[in-house]
Amino acid sequence: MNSRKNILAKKLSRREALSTAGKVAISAVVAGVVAGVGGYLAGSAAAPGRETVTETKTVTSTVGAATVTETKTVTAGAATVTQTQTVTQTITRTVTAGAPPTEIKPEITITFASPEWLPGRLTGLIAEKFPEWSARKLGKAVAVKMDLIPWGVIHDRITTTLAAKSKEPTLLISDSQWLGELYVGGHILRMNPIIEKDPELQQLLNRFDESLVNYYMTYPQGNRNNIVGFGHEGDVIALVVRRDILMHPGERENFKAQFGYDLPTDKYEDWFPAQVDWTQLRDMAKFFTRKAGDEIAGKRLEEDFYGIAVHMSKEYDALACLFGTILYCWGEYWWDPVTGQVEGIVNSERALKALEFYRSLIPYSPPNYLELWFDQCNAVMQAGRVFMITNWVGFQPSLFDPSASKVYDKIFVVPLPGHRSEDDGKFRRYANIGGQPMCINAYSDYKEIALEFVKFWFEPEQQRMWAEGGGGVCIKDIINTDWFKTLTPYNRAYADSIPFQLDFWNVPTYAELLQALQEEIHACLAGQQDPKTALDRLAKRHAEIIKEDGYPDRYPPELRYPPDVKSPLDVVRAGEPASEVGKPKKK
Amino acid sequence: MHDRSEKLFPIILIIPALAIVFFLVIFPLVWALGLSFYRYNVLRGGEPIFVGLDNYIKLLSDPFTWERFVTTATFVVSTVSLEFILGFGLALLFYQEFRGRRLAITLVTMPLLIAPIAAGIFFKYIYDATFGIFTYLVWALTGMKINMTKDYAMLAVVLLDAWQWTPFMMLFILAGLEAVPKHLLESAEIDRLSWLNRFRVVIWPTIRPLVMLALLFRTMDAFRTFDTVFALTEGGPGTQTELISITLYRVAFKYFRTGEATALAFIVLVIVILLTNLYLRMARRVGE
Repeated sequence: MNSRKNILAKKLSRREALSTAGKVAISAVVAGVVAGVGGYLAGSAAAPGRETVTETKTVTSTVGAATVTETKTVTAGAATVTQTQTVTQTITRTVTAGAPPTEIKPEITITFASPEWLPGRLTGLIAEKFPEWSARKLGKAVAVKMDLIPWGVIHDRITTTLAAKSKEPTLLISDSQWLGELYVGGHILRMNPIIEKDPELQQLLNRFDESLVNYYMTYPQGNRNNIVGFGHEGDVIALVVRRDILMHPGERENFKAQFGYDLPTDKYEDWFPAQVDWTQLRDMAKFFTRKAGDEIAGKRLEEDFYGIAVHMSKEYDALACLFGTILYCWGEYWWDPVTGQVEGIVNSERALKALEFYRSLIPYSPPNYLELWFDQCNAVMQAGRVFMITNWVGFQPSLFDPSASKVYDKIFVVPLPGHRSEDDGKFRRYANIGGQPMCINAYSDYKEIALEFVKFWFEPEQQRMWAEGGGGVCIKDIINTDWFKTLTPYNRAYADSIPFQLDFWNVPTYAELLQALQEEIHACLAGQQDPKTALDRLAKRHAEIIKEDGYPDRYPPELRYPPDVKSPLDVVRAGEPASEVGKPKKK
Repeated sequence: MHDRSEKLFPIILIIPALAIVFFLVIFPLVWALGLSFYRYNVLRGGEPIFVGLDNYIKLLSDPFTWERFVTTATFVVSTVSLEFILGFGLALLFYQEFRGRRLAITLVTMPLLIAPIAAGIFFKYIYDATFGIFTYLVWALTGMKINMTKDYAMLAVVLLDAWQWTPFMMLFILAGLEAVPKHLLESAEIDRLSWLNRFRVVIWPTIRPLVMLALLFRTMDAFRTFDTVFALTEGGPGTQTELISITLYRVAFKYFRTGEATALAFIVLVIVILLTNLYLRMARRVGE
């Protein structure tokens, strides 16, 4: 008490007060500067790409006879440092209406949970039209409020919200592999009863490619009796290649001398439908890997140059999608979804060769190969230090942005290659799909309205905005138009890649299966275990997870993979087109 | 009557605090303990199935759990030791008066102000084997191309933790040093005690309680480290830096094996309580 009194009684001279305040201020400034410089250095150390996402939106509205042109520029800080990208998109919207626009006051507001990235923000922009649409079509104005959640936490946020049986979000983006855990838990709506009564929705189903129906919309994959989502943001992995280096006459000549065949040219058809092999890609990667001081395409290199950058990171499903792609091309799959068998499949001879091949790309990869995912692959390409990368099309816009990429005008995009099997001589071209469907919360009070939003979303006008804004269109009659294919440098590769997409498990235990896969294969890539050990350990872990879950025995028949239709395992082993998945087996 | 209301008044005052503690700490803890004896997946729903000690037996007989505990122990011992040594050195340095001392202390304690998740992301970029500044500096100085997160992953996470938490240790020890009575130090100097003896006889007895407290806090904190390591390596390469807290997070929020996750949380809790008791005993023994 005395000391308290002393402190309170103590008189502070102005000089002392100023001195103390000054010290505090200086400390704060120094702290800020150091933190700022540290942050900047840390951020810029990774890539020349910027950390700000800039969207330039030009909105042109034609209303009756009058034309209103409005230009909006939105600048937003990057959500996280890991998602380094710069995206510039132009969205042109033309709205023709008979009456002058009136301010519509929404009667109902529903929430749409989406990842915090360009497609999420673009969805929000398009959804701004829904109040007017719903007022006109449903007789009540409904607003859609976006809940944009960073990628790193979206699974946890959505699953915990649904586990608490929250009524909102009414609409949600689910990664394709979450469908099983959300549907089996009863958290997302089975839409079949509604679709059966609605010809418009029935027609809509026919407008999706088979692959997208199988992996974005159904559980179990391909079972149209359980429609649990609608394709929203389509995404595939595509190959990005340096045109200037590929087409250099001296390099082409030397490549032929070394490998005995011609490099493909920068003509799209040389890569697709031409049957370029993953092993040819490795030859190119090997050939173009150079040391600082060497020459490439007639120029002296100041830094090391790498042949290829493919996803090998342990994060989320980074390496699973790329290794899966190679695994399918080598004629193998993860498991038998009908019986739940793993042993002899994921650790088969074909799987072993696939993993050996995947690992053989390491000597031609950048030193941070164990961390390579979409951001790191973009960074090394944008810095002009790699000949080719694989990356999700959804993350490719920044590669073509002059302010972010040194090579924006020197690259082209083609579909991924395939592989001709050594044992049956068949050429298989498959890839692991990305992208996300939109689902409806089973606890929402506004499920019917959510389905109306689905109809609104897939109307031509909204889909055109989606395509022009850089969204991954899922409707095949749009994807296959020349307009769409020429809209961006990567749309053609996206459109051509969709038919050969497959996916891994979307069963409720996917997270455990995925984690085991990421750990074992990553340890193999890090040199901690050989490919055989990695696959044997993986098979053992997967078998234990599946056994403990009780798949398929403990599952009711409608939640098991139907035995009378072709599974991805049947299709890849036989080397049939991916569209055969879900088709009846031949008797 | 007056006496009764006088007795009741303090009880009424502490009821809100007790209610908060009960509903936010005690009740969830007891509930979680109960849940750890059930097989229950919060996302799948359905009725929890009573499995007795199965979750504990499964976890304790799983070699993966033990691998994680060994990794965690390696991390805890390495970080706390390094932070203690460096913290002590810095505290001794700042115990001396010199120009710019206060500014230097401010700068040194700066890492404490940075959110651990941000620190993890910074270090991910700093260690990056292709573009990272650390990789570049090592190459410029030694000609060696180092890949910290691949070849020295444990060292990488230990250094990050030490960078962030050494100042914490330093502040505790410095506070202890500042509390050493000046007259004792002067007497020791008059008695011409060697530096070592001065430290042993005069300084150490004064700072010992604070050092033990700092070690206790850091050990408990290191044991539950999650964000820095998750952001930097996500437990990799493979599972080389997978701490028990990361496994716990995965079991609880990725696999939603709620019963098993609570059982694991209680195992961790028991270990931390045992460690705390061990420290307190050691502190007492040293005191005697």
